[in-house]
Amino acid sequence: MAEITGRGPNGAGASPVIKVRSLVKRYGELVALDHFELEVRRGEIFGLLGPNGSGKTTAINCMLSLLKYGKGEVSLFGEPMKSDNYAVKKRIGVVMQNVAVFNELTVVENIDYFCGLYVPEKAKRKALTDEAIAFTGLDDYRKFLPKKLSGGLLRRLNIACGIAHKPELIFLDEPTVAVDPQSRNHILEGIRELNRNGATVVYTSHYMEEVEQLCTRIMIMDKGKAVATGTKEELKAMIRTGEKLTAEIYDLPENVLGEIRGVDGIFQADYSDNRLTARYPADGRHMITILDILRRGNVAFGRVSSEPPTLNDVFLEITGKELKD
Amino acid sequence: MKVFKTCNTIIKRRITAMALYFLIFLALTVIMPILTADQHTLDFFEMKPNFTVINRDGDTPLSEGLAAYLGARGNKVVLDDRLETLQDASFYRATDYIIILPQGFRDAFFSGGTVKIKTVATTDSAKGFYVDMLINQYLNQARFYGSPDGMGEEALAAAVIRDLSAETRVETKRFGAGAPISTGFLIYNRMLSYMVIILIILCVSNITSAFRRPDMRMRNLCSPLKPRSMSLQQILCGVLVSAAVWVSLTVLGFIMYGSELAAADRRTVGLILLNTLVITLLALSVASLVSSFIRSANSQNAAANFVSLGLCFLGGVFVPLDLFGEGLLMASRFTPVYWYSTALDNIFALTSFEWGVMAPIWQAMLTQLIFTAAFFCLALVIGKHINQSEKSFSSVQTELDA
Repeated sequence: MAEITGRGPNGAGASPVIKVRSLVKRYGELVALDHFELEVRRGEIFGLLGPNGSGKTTAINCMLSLLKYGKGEVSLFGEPMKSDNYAVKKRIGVVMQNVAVFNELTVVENIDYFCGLYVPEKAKRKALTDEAIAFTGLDDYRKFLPKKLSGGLLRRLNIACGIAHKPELIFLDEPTVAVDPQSRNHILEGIRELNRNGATVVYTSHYMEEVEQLCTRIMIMDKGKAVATGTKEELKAMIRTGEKLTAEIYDLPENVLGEIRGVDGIFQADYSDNRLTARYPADGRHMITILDILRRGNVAFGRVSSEPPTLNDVFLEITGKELKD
Repeated sequence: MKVFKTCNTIIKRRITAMALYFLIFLALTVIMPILTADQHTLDFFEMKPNFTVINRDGDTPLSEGLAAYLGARGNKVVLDDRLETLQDASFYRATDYIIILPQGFRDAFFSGGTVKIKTVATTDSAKGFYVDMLINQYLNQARFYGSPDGMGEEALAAAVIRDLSAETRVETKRFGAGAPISTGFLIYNRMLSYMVIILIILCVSNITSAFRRPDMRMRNLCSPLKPRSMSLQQILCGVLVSAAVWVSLTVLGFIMYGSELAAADRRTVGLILLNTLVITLLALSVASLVSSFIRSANSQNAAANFVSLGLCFLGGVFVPLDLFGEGLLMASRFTPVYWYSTALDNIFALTSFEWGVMAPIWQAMLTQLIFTAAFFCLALVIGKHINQSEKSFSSVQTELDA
């Protein structure tokens, strides 16, 4: 599988906040990151998209110097990232995949603690803590202990702890896992707000819809490698699929399916579970051609829909497997 | 000092559980001296056995003198010289001791022949031994005078009673300037070691389990705070908590036994306090080591109880070391609390402050300090290993685990 790299207008020419070169990380025999390359520009919401086990969290942990790696270079804000580079760490905010808060502290105490690791001045810290509470909508839960919070509120607390000190660069590692839709929307809107306020965001997820609606640039990862990078439009332009047709058909004769497959430009047509799926470039005429063939073959069909390609289609075409896998 | 303050907050949140242990300890230290009071009493009272003299030799000054001598030290019970009467009286414990002087007793005694006296004592009674001893004393003293020729039998008997009634004046002198310290305070100090160990383990493990949680460690490592500073602030909190525990228990001891301690020799009190300070340091080192292995809040109480109870049991806190078998005693010597108990026992048994007497106390305290240093070193090595190991992050669910 070849690496495809696109370059869009977002942040073009801006200085890179993160630069990763040829990073290799092994866990015994398993190669978690295989000559991983990454460049994130100032002001971006950069999405790392990939299935579970693709190496997203490992990449972030290596970038944060939490994990030692065998080979490669990581620089943040133009400086080599080492575990003792505290000046760089001061400019970073991290929201871990697991909710990392003290169970013994209340919401406000937790946020104050993490903010206090970056901001020693008490008055300034109090203002920042209050701001983070308001930002994440936790005003009504200030005195609550984490065990009294729902999953969505816990995630919001996790985010508040990571962003309270107003970092320039924020790593958000799957912040919406196991979160209800209301909290998810709240979180996503919050991330956009952070970005509007000037923060560069690195966002990992295996939810393609989230990444698609949130990120300015996206890297698709698989097996520790970056398989494609670009804006969502660029990524979709990298594949042949321009449009995907789905039609509900009770019975589709083999000769009719063969005729559809034979149409010039239709590069994939499958029939399973009473459903016909066809992929072709987005030129506006293939859908009519397919419906004509069905009519001529006296094939009764129900609901027909046509949609543009998703990131899952991008992933499917590049790797040969579904992103959901 | 954000980490330090957070550590304090974490401990404050668990104060209720610790207060429960404190109350149990308080109850035990009040109850145990009361329960063990009889075993440790030093008061003396004279025992007066009931005895019966059956004189078949007729009234002689020797036998009358014996009866009078015994009568001064016991209660004379008059019984008929009939077998059934004597059996009933002995069975129903109307008398503790029956002495039967046979016919010819006086003649045989003064002629230097063998004198056979029949005696019946109630079984399992110390009174029998006591009366045996009194009879032997009387007869041996009478034999000391030999023949009554010259002084007369009555005068001999009177001389024997006079001799045996002579008392030796005994003056008790205590070393040092102070009054003795009660056994209650000894028990309090024994129990204090358990309390110190369990409280400090609970406090330190609360801190470490909160900060060593893999996800929390990762999160903290992302911050600009140096790990060394973070560790030092946690250690500082541990030291402060240990000091607070020591001060609280010391003050409590002074409240409970203040009047005794005020009258006691200050050097003895100082040694007791020094010993408790040493066990507090030891408890801190044990807590550092134990908390290295505690992975969750749920296992804290179990680990704290297991370690503190185990160490204190083997160290002779709950059961006196005198009751230990040789094997158990040998094993207990390898536990630090044994040396605390030994030092404490030696302090309470002090007869002077000379080097020879004090040496075992210093040796026991030094051994505790060696254990303390060893535990701290071990805890540091394990802590460093955990910090450097990527495996310590393994419980954080990453994509690769999924």
